[in-house]
Amino acid sequence: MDDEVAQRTPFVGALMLVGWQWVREQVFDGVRAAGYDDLNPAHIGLIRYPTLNGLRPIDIAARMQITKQSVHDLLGHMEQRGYLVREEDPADRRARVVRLTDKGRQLERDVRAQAAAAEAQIAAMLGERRFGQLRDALQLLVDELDAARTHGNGASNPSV
Amino acid sequence: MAGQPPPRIGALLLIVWQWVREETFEGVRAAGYGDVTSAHLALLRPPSLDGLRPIEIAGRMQITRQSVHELLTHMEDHGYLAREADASNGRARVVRLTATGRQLELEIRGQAGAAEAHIAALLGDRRFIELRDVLLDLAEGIGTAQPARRRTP
Repeated sequence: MDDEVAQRTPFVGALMLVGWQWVREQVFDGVRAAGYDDLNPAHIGLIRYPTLNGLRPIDIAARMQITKQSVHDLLGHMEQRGYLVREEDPADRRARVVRLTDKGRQLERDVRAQAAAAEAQIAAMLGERRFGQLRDALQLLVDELDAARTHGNGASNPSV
Repeated sequence: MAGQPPPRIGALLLIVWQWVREETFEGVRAAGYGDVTSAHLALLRPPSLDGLRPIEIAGRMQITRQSVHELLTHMEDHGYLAREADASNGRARVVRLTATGRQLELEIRGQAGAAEAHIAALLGDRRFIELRDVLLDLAEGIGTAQPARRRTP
């Protein structure tokens, strides 16, 4: 019985995923329309807040929930097309980190502009008051979860 | 981080959702599923992948077919699913969850529910219900704005 209820009630997490996936599609469509026709959604998906610059492939794999091999395929494609290079990590010479080129930084700016446009569409859909409720609740959660993480196990999460 | 512009709503949604995903994953691991990574759990996100073709799974997960095959092979090797001939197209194959796979699906759902309860506790009932209602409106608004581009749960 409980399982049945759980199956029918969308979890808040699932709803957040729906919202984020929509934003991701808007961003991809907008970026494509801006002329980036050599990248697919998986490549654009690498560009996340606050930045792809300076991340290690293994951290990208963890936050995107994909295999290291997939990350290497995606980064290789973007490297060949001049968006980034992979350099030695100054903090650990055995590791490598992503460095965005000028072209990659411009892509990141374009992605951010599309994220802002998607946000404006959501605000228009919900109205200012309810959009404010959504933003404030999410921001509160981000702050609380970040604080809990810092206190809990000492692991830092640079994306938060 | 100094000098960063504030996150947009998409980033906030992603950050909180990622937290839910991590909590879910840790709960599932603690329940004894030590042979799956969170990339494998992502395969089992609702709606169920039972009956889907690998290429459809790649589309909804936004990953390459090669990655899907690697993930599915791992799950198949560990007895969570099998790949069978598609009844409607003999050359294609579809994923079928085994009983163990279905059990894992239920465990994931239970853990996702626990993560949601944690969020409700952080926000308090009033704000939690407010958040849920706004998210439902958003999901509906998105569906109206852009029907059937991709399947949504």
